[in-house]
Amino acid sequence: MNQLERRYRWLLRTLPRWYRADREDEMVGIFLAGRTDELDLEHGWPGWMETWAVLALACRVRMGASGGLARAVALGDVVRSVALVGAVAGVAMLGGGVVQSVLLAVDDDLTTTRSWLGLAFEVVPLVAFALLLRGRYGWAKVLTGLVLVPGVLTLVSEPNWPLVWFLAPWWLGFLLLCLGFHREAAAPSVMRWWSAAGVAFVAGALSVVVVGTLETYLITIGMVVVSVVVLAARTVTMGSRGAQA
Amino acid sequence: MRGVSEQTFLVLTALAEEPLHGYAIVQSVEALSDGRMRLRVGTLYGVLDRLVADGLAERDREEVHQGRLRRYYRLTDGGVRTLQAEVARMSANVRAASAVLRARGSEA
Repeated sequence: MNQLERRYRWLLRTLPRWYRADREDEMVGIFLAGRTDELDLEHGWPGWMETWAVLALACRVRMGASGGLARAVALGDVVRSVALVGAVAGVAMLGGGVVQSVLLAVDDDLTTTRSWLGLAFEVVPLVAFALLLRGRYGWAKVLTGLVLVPGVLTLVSEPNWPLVWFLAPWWLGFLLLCLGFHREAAAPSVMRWWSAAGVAFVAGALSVVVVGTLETYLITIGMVVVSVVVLAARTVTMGSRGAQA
Repeated sequence: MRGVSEQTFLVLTALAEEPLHGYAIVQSVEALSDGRMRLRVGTLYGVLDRLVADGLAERDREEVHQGRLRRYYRLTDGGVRTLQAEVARMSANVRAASAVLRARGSEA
């Protein structure tokens, strides 16, 4: 076995064991076909494009791609549900932002202009959420990533741990969004998730009415708590399905 | 109805002629696209998994070539129908675009 084959087999370890058992030799055969340069075989590596393609395949297979195991589909469902909770939390943030902007406008506060600009930015998660439910996963990921950029820039200019802890759940939600909503991912239930978004919007708005200001950490904590509940519920469901199987 | 991706279309086209193994599919797709598209192995298997899961392609025979496993894939009847439908859809688009360009040319 040459070094290039060894490196490619190492890359293929990102795929699940059951998938490798069926496909690994076949994939290695195609990858090495036509490669005869001794220097390449000894010192070459799979390359960025191939690495990306294998990682994307691993993601799809592990998170419920078509033809995958029921367990992989179930894991994909969990990842997508938690990612959607994060997207819904973004809608809750918008609900709070709307009420706060209205309150500031009523008070004729000097920061009104700034708050409306902030509100325009907070609409982005709602657009991303709508795109997600319409199956436009790529654009939903781009917009969600865009929302996280200011936080990253703030951290770069002023590194501080409290902000890291505050942003971590949002980054995790974005990561799960990227992993779970691949091309073959099943579309989420539109009615169920729009209903959840509606409830979240109202809850976000009410939180500002009750507390008097938009406490983003409250919404973040709410997102984490609901994610844990969803995770636990899905795990129990998976366990009972496994027991029945 | 949204059409299939270009990668899927080219793989379906490659398999329409005869059953092919993975490397032959990669070469055929490259030739069909005039060298524009070179499928990575990871991408090829993503497409093949989807086609097999959707019943558009299936495994054919296996053989060992120079110590390496080669698995052949072939189109199912459903795959042929899907390719025909896609060709019809794309042909209709080409006819419509050609008509628009002809009209534009006659006006110029």
